[in-house]
Amino acid sequence: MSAGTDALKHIVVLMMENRSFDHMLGFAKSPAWPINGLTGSENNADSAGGVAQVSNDATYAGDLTPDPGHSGFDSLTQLYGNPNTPVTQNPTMSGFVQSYEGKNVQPQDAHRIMKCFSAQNLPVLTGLAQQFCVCDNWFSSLPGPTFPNRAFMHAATSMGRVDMGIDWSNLSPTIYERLKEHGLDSVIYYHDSTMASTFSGLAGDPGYFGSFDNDFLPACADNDLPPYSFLEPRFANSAGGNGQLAYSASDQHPDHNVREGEALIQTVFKAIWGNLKLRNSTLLVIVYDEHGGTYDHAAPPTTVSPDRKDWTNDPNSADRDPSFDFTRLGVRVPAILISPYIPPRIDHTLYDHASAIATAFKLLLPNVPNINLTQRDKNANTFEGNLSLAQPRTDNIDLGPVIQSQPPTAAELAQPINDHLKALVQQAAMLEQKLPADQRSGIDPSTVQTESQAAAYLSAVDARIHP
Amino acid sequence: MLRGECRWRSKWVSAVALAGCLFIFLSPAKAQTPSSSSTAVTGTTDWDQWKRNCSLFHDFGQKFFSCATSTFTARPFHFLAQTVVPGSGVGGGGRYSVDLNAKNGTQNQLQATSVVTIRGFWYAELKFSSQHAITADWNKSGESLGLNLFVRNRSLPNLPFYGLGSNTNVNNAVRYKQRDTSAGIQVTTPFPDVSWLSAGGTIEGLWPEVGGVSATNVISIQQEDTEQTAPGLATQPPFVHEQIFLNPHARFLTRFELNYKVAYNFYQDASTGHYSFRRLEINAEHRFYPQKKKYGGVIEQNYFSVLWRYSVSDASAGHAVPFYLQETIGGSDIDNQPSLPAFKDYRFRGPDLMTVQTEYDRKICDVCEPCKKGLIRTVCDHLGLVLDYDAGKVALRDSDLDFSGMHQSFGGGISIYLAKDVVFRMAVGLGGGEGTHPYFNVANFL
Repeated sequence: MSAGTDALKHIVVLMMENRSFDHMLGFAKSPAWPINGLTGSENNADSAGGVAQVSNDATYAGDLTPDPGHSGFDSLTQLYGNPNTPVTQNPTMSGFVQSYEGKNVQPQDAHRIMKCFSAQNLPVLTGLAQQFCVCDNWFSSLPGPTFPNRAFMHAATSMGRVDMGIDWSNLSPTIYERLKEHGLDSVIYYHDSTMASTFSGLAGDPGYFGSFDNDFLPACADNDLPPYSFLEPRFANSAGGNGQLAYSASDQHPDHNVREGEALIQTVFKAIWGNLKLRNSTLLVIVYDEHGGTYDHAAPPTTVSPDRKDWTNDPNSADRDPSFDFTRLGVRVPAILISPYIPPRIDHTLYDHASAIATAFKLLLPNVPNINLTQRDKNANTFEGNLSLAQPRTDNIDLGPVIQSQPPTAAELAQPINDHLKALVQQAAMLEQKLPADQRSGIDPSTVQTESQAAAYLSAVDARIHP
Repeated sequence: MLRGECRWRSKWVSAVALAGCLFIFLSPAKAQTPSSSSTAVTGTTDWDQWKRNCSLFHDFGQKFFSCATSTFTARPFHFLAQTVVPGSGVGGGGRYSVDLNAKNGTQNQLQATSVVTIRGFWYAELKFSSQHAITADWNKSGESLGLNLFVRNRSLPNLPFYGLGSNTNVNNAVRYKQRDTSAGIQVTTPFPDVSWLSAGGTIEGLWPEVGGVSATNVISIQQEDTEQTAPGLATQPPFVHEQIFLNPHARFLTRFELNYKVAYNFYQDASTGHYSFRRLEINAEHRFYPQKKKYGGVIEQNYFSVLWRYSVSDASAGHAVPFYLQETIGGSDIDNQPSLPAFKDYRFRGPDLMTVQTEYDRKICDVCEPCKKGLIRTVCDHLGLVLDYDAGKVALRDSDLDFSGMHQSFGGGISIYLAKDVVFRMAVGLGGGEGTHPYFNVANFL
C-alpha cells in the first residue's frame, strides 16, 4: 500500500463512447512521451487496391457519417479482414477500411476511418494523459459494440452477449451490488440515460442513480461522493425548451462533436480537482467503452472467458455476429488515471474494463477474499500501483483554455439517431412499459427519429423512472 | 416563490375549473400505452404530432389528453393558459418561438407571445434573447453573457386604485385603465474574477397611458382623484428608464442559497421632467433546503425562503413619482410578484416599500421507488404544500419605512406538480383584517 491508496476514499469512472486509442491519442506519441502510438505509416487497404494511411487531421464532427460499424461482425472484420477468422489467431488490424466500406461508403471515402486527432485538437484528453498516467495497453473487453462492453465495466461480463439487445435485466451481480453487500455505496450519475436502469439488481433502489448536474457536481462541491461512482456522458443532442437550455451530446459517439466530450472531461476533472479534500482522496478513471470502428494498430491479445458463456451465431437469423467465446479482447481504447498521488507516466500494463472492477475491489474492500464477479476481473491486472507518490501533487495542471459546451445546431438536432441512441430509446420504452399505464409518457417511441426527439423522449421517461 | 409565475385573482369557480383542466391536461396519469393506436405521437415535427394527436375524426375521447399536452407544449407554436396581470382574469393565447443557435457558443431565440383574458386585458411581446458562452479565464462562474431585446404592449382596461399610503380604506377603491408600451434592451454579464456576482443594465423606453373607466357600477379614478392624490393622472409623458444592477448570488454549504439584486433606476420624464425620479431597489432572497440526497444535491422542491424587499424612490423637489409607477403590496404587483396575499391585489401603493416574505414549500410525498401504486400515491405524487407569512408596508417617505405598523398576511395552500415543476398553485391568504383572499398561480410556460 502507498500513501495514495491509504488516502483513497472515492473511485470515479467516466466512460466515454466509441473512440480508439490511436484515434484519440496515437499521434501524440513523441520521444518525450513514448506511448505505443502511431508512427504515421500505419495503413489499411481498401477494396479497390488503394492504401489508406493514418493521418492526424480528424475533425470534431463530420468525418464519421455514417456511423462506422462496431458490432461483433464489424469488429472482427476490422481485426482480421475476415470476420470468420478464428480468434485464436493474432489479429492483423487490417480490415478497418474494408469494414467501413460495408456501410455503403465508397472505397476512397472509407479512408476517413484512418483519420486520427492531433494532440493540439484534444487539449483536455491529451493534457490529462500527459500530466497523469496514460494506460496505452487498455483494451475494450470484447470486439463488439457498446452495451456488452459497458456490461463488462458494470459486471466483468456481458453474460455471453455481443449484441445490442436492450434488455440487460439479468446482468448480475454488478460491482454496485457487490459493494452494497459489503456496506459500500455506489452511484451511477448520468445525463439523459444509462443502460444500468435496466439492471434488475439496481432497479428497485433509487439510491443507485443520480443526475450528473444536480447530484454529481453538488456532491463534488460538498465532498459527498460515494466510494464508487460511475459517470455517463450525455448521449443525445437536446433542444431544450420550456426554460431549459439546449445541450449537445457529450459522449463523443461518432458523429457527435468530440469537443463536447472534451468539455465534459474538463468539467469532471475540475469538479474533483477544485475540492482539495476530494481531490486528495479520489482516483478518477477516464476510459472509452470501445473503439466505435475507428482505427487502432495494436492487436488485442487473448484473455480468459469471464464465465464460459459463449455467443453462438444462429445461421437462420439475420444476425451476422460470428460465434465468440470471449477469449479475445476488443480494440484498444484511451484510458487515463488521475490522482494527485499519480506522477506523469505511461503504464504499459495490459488492462481491460474488468481491471477497473478488480482495482476498485482491491482498493475499497482490501480484506475481502474471493470478491471477484467473474473470472475476467479475477485475472485482470490492477492499476493501484500508479498511485505511487508519497505526497499529493500540488503543481498546476494545464489543460489549455476553458472549453465551453455549446448548444447543438438545428442540423445536429435534426440528425437521425445512431444505433446506440436508437437502442437507448428502445430501452427507455421497455422500462416505460413496466410502469403502470397511467404513469407513462404517452409518447410513441417508434416514431422518434431525430436527436432532439430522442432527447425529449429520454427526458420524459427518465422523469418517470427516476422521479 | 413559484418561478416564472403569473397570477390572477378570480372567482373560485373559474379558478378551480382551470386548475382541474390543467391537472387533467398535464397529468401523465392519463397517458396511453405506447403501443396503443391512440397514443400521443412524436412525429417528424411537433406540428405533425399535434395534428395526429388532435385529429377529431375518431377516438377523440381517448386522444383528449395527448391533444392537450401537444397543444400546450408544441414548438415552434403552442397555446398558453395565462393571465396578463393580477386581476385580469383567466386568459389564453399563443407563443411562437424559434431557436437560432449558432455554433459559436451562442443560444439565440426569437419569441412572440400574445395573451388575452376574458376581462379584456391583453398583452403582446416580441423578444429576442441571446446567451453567449464566455470562455475567458476571468469568467469564474461559467455564466453566459445574456442579451434581451424586447418590445411589449399591454392593455389593462380596469385596475383598482385604493389611494396612496399605508392607511387607505379597502372600500374606497376607484378604477382606472392603463396601457403601456415598452421597448428596450437588457444585458447581463458575469463579473470578472468572482463566481458569485453578475451585473447588468437595462435601457428601455416607456410610453404609458392612464385614464378613467366608464363602466357602470364602478367609480372612475377621475371622479374621486386628482393630480394631488394620484400623481401622473393628468398627463403621462414618455419615460426613458435606465437601470444598472448587481446580482450577488451564491450557494454554499450545499443547503443555503443567496440571491440578491441591488438595482439603481433612473426614470427620466422625456417631456417636462416633472415626473423624473430615481429608485433604489434591493431584493435579498435567502433559501434553505432542508433535505439533501445522499451523495447528491438538495431536493429543490422542499425549501424555506425569506425574501427582504426594500425600495425607495427619490424625486427632486417639485417633482412627483407617478402613481402607476409606484410600488404596491397586496396580492401580487403588476409584475406578478406576490406579496401579502391576504390583501387584494395592489391594495397599498406608495413610492417606497419594504416587505419581509417567508415561504415554505415542499412536495408532499417523497420519492419512493418501488412504492405501492394507486390513486392516493398518484395524487400525492402531484401535490405540494405551501405555507407563507408576509409582513410589509408602503410609505410616502423613506423615513417611514420601518418595522412598525407593518401589514401582515399568512396563508397556505397546495401546489400541483408536473414532474419537478409547479404548474399550478391555489392558496388562501388570511390575517390582513380584510377577509379571506383566495389566490391562484399558474406557471408561465403553460
